[in-house]
Amino acid sequence: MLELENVHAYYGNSHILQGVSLAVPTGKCVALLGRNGAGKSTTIHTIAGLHKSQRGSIRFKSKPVESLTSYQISREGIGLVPQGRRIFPSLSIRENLTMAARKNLKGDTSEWDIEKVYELFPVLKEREKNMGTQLSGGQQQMLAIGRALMTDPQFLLMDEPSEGLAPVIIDQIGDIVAKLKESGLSILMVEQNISLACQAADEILIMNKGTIVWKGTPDELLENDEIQHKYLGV
Amino acid sequence: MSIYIVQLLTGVAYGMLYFMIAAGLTIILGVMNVVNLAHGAFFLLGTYFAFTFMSLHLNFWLALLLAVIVTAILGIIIEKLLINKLYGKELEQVLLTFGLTFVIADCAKWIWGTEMQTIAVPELLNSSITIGEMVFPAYRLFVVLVGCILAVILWYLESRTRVGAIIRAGVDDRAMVAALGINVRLVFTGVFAFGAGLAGLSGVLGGPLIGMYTGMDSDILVTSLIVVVIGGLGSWKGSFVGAILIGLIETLGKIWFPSLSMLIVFLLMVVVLMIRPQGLYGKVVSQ
Ligand SMILES: Nc1ncnc2c1ncn2[C@@H]1O[C@H](COP(=O)(O)OP(=O)(O)OP(=O)(O)O)[C@@H](O)[C@H]1O
Ligand SMILES: [Mg+2]
Repeated sequence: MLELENVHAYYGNSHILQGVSLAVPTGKCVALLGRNGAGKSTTIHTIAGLHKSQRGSIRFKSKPVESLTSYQISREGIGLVPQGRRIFPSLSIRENLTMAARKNLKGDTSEWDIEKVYELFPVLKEREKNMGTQLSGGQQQMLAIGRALMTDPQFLLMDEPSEGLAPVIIDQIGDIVAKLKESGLSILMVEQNISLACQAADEILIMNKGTIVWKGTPDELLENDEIQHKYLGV
Repeated sequence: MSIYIVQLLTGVAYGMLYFMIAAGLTIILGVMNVVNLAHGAFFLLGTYFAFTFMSLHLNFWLALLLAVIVTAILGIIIEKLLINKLYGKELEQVLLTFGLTFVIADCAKWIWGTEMQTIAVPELLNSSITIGEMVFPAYRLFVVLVGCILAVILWYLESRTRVGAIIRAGVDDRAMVAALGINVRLVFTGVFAFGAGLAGLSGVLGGPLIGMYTGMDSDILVTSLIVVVIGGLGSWKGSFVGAILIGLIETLGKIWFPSLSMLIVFLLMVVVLMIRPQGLYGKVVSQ
């Protein structure tokens, strides 16, 4: 569904992505692991069009998207759940969701709307009048996921959904990701939490210094202490 | 005493004119991060367009509507053709919009000449309301009413509509708004045109009060920049309060200290900035 081929990206003179190639098949969840500063968020931002790649190709549903702007990429069906959630503080919880709503132009009912998001996250409905930033970290993560779902995506980019959350909440996030996958979404998830990644993903990629250095199943990673030690500092 | 009450109305009416122009200026600043120094020129063009439409024997109301629309369209053209290229480049924006003020002012001189003109008060409002000894010109009351209606409309748009939510979100985190599939560029064009239209509206409504003369664009720009600073950058509510304050102080200042009224306005700005550096309604920006 999503394919990156030899993608290079820079911040000024620093060469951050040094030829990233990866693929996320339809209906699968792929986890991208790696140390701080490995270039994981840059990969996510480059796919979402928030950062421009210098070279290489990004194809979504076989269509090249690397030269599209971020709003066009979103309309192609890629939803972003960014690192740090980036909830809009000036908006209520409800507004955070409705502002992202995608009117389905073809007239057929869209997969996701505010009722479905509230069904998935009832706590958001209870507190819909509150401002987005009055939520706990876990609830803000739900809001960020719900907001991305409102754009009616077929594909989700999730950047460290477990960051800063308590272990119980991280388990909940794992369940949510499983539900999203069941609903037919394909997911590329950046994670630092190995157990969440291995629980949620069908395939694991490890990134180091701007390239993918290892690829395998969750079980292969859990058995491979050397890789865990070398690239993930376990 | 009663003379002062009548002057209060005049002050508030002027304040409403400042509010209409400053609201656009401050919204453009808050949403797009552009200090639009050409905003006074939109005010001037609004007046002159209406003057032209009226000299073609259109009535005041039709001239008002057309002038606002034409000014807004001009705003769209300027945003699409010029400002669009300079997002994020503050110095270039300042030079561009400053340059535009000269270009537009010279075009205005060329088209309309340098003679001082006025727009006649529309017949419907060419009367006054007498309460006791006080005589209130109906047109000034009307301007105050329009300003208040505009404030209600802005409040509604900002807090009760999806477009308003998108614009507030854009002030918080523009890139995230784009990543949610919203064409931020289009929002910018719309905001700029809306602001230009408001400045045009202010210009037309100001026609019967201020008249039209060469240099009015820079006079009004300075005043509305002060309003924006006093009110707090990006806050139209602050502009509402700030504009009324300035309108009142300027008008009363002209009675008490005729030669110092502009100085008093600047002093007010200094005092506000000393007490609240972010302006009356401004948010504290942490860098
Ligand atoms: N806006 C920026 N300007 C300049 N350099 C940046 C910028 N954003 C990231 N970098 C640099 O790019 C490199 C990769 O950053 P990136 O955010 O992609 O890492 P990451 O793998 O997501 O790390 P983390 O786990 O901490 O989120 C880092 O060295 C970082 O310092
Ligand atoms: Mg990151």
